[in-house]
Amino acid sequence: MIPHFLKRAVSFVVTLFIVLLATFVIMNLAPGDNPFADERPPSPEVIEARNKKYHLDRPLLLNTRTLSADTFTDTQFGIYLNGLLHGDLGPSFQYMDRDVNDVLGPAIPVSLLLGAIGLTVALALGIPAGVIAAVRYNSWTDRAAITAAMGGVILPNFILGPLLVMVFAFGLGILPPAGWGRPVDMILPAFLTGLPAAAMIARLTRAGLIEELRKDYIRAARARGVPEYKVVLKHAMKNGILPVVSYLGPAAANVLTGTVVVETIFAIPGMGTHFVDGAIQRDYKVVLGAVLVYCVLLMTFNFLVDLAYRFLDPRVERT
Amino acid sequence: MALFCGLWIGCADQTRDFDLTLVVGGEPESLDPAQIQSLSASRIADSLFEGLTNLNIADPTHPLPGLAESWTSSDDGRTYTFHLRAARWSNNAPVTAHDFVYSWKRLLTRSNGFQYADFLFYLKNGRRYYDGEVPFDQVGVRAAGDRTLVVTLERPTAHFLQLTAFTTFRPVYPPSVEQRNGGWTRPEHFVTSGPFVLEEWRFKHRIVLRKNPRYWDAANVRLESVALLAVKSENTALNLYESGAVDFISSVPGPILDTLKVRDDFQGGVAFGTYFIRFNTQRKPFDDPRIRQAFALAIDRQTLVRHVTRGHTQAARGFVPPGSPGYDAIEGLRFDPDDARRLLAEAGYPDGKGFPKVAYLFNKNENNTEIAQVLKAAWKDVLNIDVGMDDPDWKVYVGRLTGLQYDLSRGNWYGDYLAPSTFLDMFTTGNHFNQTGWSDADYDRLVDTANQTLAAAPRRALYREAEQILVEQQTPIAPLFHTATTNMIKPWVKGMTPNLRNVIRVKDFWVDTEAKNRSETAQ
Repeated sequence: MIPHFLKRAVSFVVTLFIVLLATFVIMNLAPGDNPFADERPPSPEVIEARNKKYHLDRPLLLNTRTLSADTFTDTQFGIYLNGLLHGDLGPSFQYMDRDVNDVLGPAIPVSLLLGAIGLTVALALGIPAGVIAAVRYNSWTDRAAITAAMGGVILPNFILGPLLVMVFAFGLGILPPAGWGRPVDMILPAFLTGLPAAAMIARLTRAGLIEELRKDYIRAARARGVPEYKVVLKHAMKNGILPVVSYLGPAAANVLTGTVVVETIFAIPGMGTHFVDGAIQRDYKVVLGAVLVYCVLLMTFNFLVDLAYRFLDPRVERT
Repeated sequence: MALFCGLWIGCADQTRDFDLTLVVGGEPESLDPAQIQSLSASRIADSLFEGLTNLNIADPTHPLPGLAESWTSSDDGRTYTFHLRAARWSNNAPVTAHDFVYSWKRLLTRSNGFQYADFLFYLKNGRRYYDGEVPFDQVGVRAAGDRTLVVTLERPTAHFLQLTAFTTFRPVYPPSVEQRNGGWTRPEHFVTSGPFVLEEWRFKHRIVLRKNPRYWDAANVRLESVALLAVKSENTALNLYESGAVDFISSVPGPILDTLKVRDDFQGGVAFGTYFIRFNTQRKPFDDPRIRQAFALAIDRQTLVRHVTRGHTQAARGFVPPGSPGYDAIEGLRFDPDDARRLLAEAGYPDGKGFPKVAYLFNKNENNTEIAQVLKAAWKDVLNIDVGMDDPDWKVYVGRLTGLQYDLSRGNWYGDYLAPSTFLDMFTTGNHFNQTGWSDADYDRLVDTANQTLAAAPRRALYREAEQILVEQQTPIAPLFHTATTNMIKPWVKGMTPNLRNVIRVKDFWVDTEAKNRSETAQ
């Protein structure tokens, strides 16, 4: 187990480094040279002062003026990595009183919470839907479930969102149209976030179960007189659920990174808007920070899913 | 599951009931008066920090006392002496003239990189200190005792008193800044002199203000707690307003403006801003003023305003919006297709023949796109010229504007104070807001002289002459329309006086709780 963990840890760090480097390069390649450019442009003196303050006058990746450790460390990327090692993700250009830790810090639990509830909703809706569809295979119930699932995948959230607000907030008046902080604020956003994943989970559950239910051991169990609900939920589910477990990794990724629209509609202070705004406003450090966070979260989650898979499926190699 | 519950408890906070909840824009870029650049941030900062004076909405040229109870000015208009009242910071330290000197020095120090530092170039030797030529003790601001501030200007400036109410000039508490530098704007360290203190600042979520009992005019502040929500989407802000979660919003979604503007809770009017076209005078063909004028004359501004921008937007004649004290609007270039065609022919392109390919630059959003389409159609109809549409992303757009890499482009400006110079200064030679490459010695001279003329009538005449050069004769810009305010205010929120710059002075507000309860039970 230990060597395996070590291997994972090393690949973790290497992947992170490459992703950060790539993001750094891409951000600097994007047109729009100065992050402080604005409709009311700062004067050349102000730009100079800020460039100095934020080390934007240093070379990007390699400092060719010296041939020492400084070649790598006296560069913008080097300064950034050095900061990372000390837990400092750098300053924000847009929000001048704050550094990236301040900007992303409060947003991470918000996004995690939204994602967690969204995923839970997805599982809570998707799995039962998939089970019912599989059990009533080829009936009207099944077809209805599949259509609903398709709808969930196809319908864009910026259409469904306002529709839900119209119905629940203004039509029925039982939910708030936006805001964050109370449990009731989380209902519509979580639903909207989880719906596409729910649809996918429903289809995967259905497909997985249908395949399992065809197998011999299931027929044997039925022949032994095991009640149908146990056949489905206890025996078939164990293997039938595996595709869903594998999907949880990408599902988490989608849910976590796809929250921008939901955050905008419901005014939720999550990571999605920071990421997109940061890119548009060329707030380099915020974007790097967001990429870092997403990367870490996704790699961790995938690792956990891997562990769960090994636990659930004894056929997977354990070395 | 456990993780989930932990997170839930960790971040679900209870939203309390605030006396007043507003949306005045997205998250502020800063709450440090010296750093602030946006209008929405200045509205919040103005509730936290007090200036020498306060804007007198009814009569802007005669500001109301703020931290200064009274002031005198010398006959030549170059020296002002402010007598400060015995005011206190929120931590009970006295507000002194030294606080002003410290804050203005901080603002004027080049290495700090504050964008509005140039507002202090009005001070004697302000520019020279900024450029490192003289030490700060040569700059025209000094504390003559703890409660007397003497300000000496480089030249007489008629609107200087108005500026003393401006956010940038409001002082900060020196020990806070010195000790913490970056972190002093956190709520736990925030020391203020204004009507409210900062109780909570949840990034991109909300800012909560609480009444400052040590504010010099606390007796007249009727709100105990105010919440400012950071909501960027106009649709979301309107939803929150309609559901009763928010009492005041300052912008509405364009598509439903017509439905909203007839409501009783809609407060609209002309604003102190202008939407205009910039021509790149350093590039053919717009180096020829006749072509610029032809393009300007081809646009029917009345139709644009009536059908596209709607609301209270107003077709522009001059560049400076009407309504500021002592300003007379000029004629401007009216819609005249025949004249436009004539000028185009004179410039060598009769009926648009042989006209080089040009593109209109603007940053993509619904409003700009609609306007761009109207302009394109106008230039095609009247001049028979196909102008390309160029709508890159925001940063690329501003970069190209500054780098003069465009043919003609959209422009937008709102005035920082109520005087023509905030608009006309922009197009003097070398001003970094110019961004057209245009330079005219007569214009520079007129604006400069006007800025120093204290007598109202001759000053007005000089500005008029300058504006005529800018808009009618040389036309490096073509003003299209003046922008409008679009506030929506619940009927039980009182105290908002409509004003040109849409100054939202929260300390004036109060809530008629009876009216509010009546309407809530009615719902």
